[in-house]
Amino acid sequence: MRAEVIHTSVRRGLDGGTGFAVAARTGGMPRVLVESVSALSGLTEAWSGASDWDRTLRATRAVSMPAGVQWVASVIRPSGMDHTGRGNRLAHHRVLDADEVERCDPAQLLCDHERWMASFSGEPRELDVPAPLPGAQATSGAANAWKSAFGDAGVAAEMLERAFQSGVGAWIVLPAGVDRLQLLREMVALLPPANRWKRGWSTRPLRPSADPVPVICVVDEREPEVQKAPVNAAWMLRPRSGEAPRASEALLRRAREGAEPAAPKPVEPLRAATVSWAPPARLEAAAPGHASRGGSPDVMSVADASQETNPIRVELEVPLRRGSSIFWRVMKTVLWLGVAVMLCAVALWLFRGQGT
Amino acid sequence: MHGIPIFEPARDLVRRLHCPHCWQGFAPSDALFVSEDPRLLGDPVAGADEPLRFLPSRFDLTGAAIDPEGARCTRLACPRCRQEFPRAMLEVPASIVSVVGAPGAGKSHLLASAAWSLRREGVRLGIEMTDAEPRLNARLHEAENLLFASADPQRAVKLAKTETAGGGGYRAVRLDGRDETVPVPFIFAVRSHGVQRAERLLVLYDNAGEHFMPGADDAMRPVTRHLGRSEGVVFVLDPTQDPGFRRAAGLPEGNAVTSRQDLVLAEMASRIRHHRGRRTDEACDVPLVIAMAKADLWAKAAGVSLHEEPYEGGGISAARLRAAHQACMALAQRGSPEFVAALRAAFGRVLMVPCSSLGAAGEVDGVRPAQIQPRWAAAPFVAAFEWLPGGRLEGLQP
Repeated sequence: MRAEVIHTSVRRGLDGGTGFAVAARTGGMPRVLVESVSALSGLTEAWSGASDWDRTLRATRAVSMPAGVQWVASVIRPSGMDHTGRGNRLAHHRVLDADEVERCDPAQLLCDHERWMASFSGEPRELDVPAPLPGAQATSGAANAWKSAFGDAGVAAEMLERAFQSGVGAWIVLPAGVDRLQLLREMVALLPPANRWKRGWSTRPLRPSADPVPVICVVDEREPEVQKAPVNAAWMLRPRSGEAPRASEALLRRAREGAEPAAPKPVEPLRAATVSWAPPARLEAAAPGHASRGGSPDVMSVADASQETNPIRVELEVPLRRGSSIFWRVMKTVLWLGVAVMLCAVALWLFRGQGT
Repeated sequence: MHGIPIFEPARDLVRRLHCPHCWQGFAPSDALFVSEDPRLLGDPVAGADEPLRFLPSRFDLTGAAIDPEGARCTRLACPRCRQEFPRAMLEVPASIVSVVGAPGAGKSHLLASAAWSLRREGVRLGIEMTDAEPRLNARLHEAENLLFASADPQRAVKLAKTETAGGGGYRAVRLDGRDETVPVPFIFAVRSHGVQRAERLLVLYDNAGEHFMPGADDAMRPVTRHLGRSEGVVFVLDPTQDPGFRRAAGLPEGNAVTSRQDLVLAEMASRIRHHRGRRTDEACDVPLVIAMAKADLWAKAAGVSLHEEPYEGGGISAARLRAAHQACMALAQRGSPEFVAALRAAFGRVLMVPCSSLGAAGEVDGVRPAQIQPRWAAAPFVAAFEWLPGGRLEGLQP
């Protein structure tokens, strides 16, 4: 369903309560959805001296609902003082329906400043069902802002590929002063449209978690959360300058030249074996590139999302190779021969002495 | 002849403790250790960004656990929610004191002011207070620094409104396949002067006021369930949010914020009964300190002198507290009889303590640290602590 929720500090909330409460929402929204979306409204403290722009959290996140996963795009920003004279924030959430998810670009949606409320005034109220979001705009595809920031647009490809491989999300830690939103936009544009909603995206750090859809966060290096995180945290990716970026050829070309996303590769017949997830006892288990034992997911491939890395349940993909097929045939023959020899031995033992 | 000290002397451990995050009871031997080796990152309950928690099978001579990669570990975690708690909880009994109040009542300001006062003037107040684990009280340190240790005391500052989720006040954990939010407490090691009582840990919670509103307590966000375990409650009452009280105290009506704090009190009493399995008509047996905030605005009308603090002879004075209680109760009876009725219906032991976290009214852009002069800010917490069994005020009947 398409819906909106405005969550901020008000004298009286639409559904009761005071202080942080739902100030406005689309009429007819299920209570459980309102509560789940409202729970996404927190805004963590940023570094000392951060501007309101820096403190604003723009994110797309998947919420698990009884009926399935629901996508929510949010812009949460400081919003002056509330009625008690304390610092307030305003969370504007947009619940997307399946058609919109298919059509839209998450980064373009977050960048559309006209769409997001900056302050709330008036009485708590119910809102109309929002108009459908327009489809994604075509982009050149080249990561020019990344080139300006790091000297090589291919850095965007490397960061994207590494972040995409993490089963718990990733923080791409950027130096102070770069336009994170623009970098995010260009990075998402490198993906084929079908893959852009296979991950959540954020401009402020969100805790890495084993949620069904991990979130890739493009964050400022001054964030207190970044400062507190372990230095070697596997989910923290820092662009390296001066080194040739390592990523797939198609993705590098797309980042540097703006070429169209590569056509999907012909998919080999696969046999899936299910491996239950175990708590990560070592870093490698949660580290990017190690979440899937079947190899790194190809960010340019538009194969079915269900075959992708899942941190809870890992679908191990085992291609049916010719070599392994011959091996199984030989094994079967050996087995049957063994059974025949056994039968002969039993028959000889039963009829021993009858010939004399 | 003295032997060579090879082993550390044995420590006396408590027989059972309760996690300060999820209130699960467990024996010290069930406590998990937090791994220190950087390769052991990611815990299935605490989160992918947390070090692995484990039940150790190897220890060194000092009693520290050895993690699977061979690193020495001393930090402890709850076996259920796997959140860290101070090691002192294994050795010293802990007392939970819940801090409750309507949104905007001033809980965070009062906690910051009280903590600052207790750190600086512990000897005069009769209580020595230190962080049981400084890292876990970081959020409170930030508030204290902002209000009392600002580099530019003339620049207005303001504490952010306490978030209802996320931020430093709550942690999300994955229990039995579902996400649950648990609160992050402030834990202090406290010792009172002049009485023969061992050190005790004081566990305080700074919830958002929204969590105390009716219907805000559920299984996914059981963030106020400390009420079921608390040995004392500090209810922060903001009299200026009550129109009747404002009239009784002679405060201008204006465009003041109003809220029904009697409903918050009734909801709190209801949760205390539910979580302790008590009858609905039974009075709560937990001692309740009503911290009547913003007293700098109304103390004169109540006949309370905030300049005369309730301490004498290196400790809290029961006589002064009783006098202040009677003055506050009289004003509350005149201004907000419905609140007093709710109070008497639900609690057997109540003490009203006036207090002012800042001692000065804030301005539009916040409050200037140079103007902050807390009055009686620590008194509600000192009173609550001394009202616990073995304290100076044990047996006090205001």
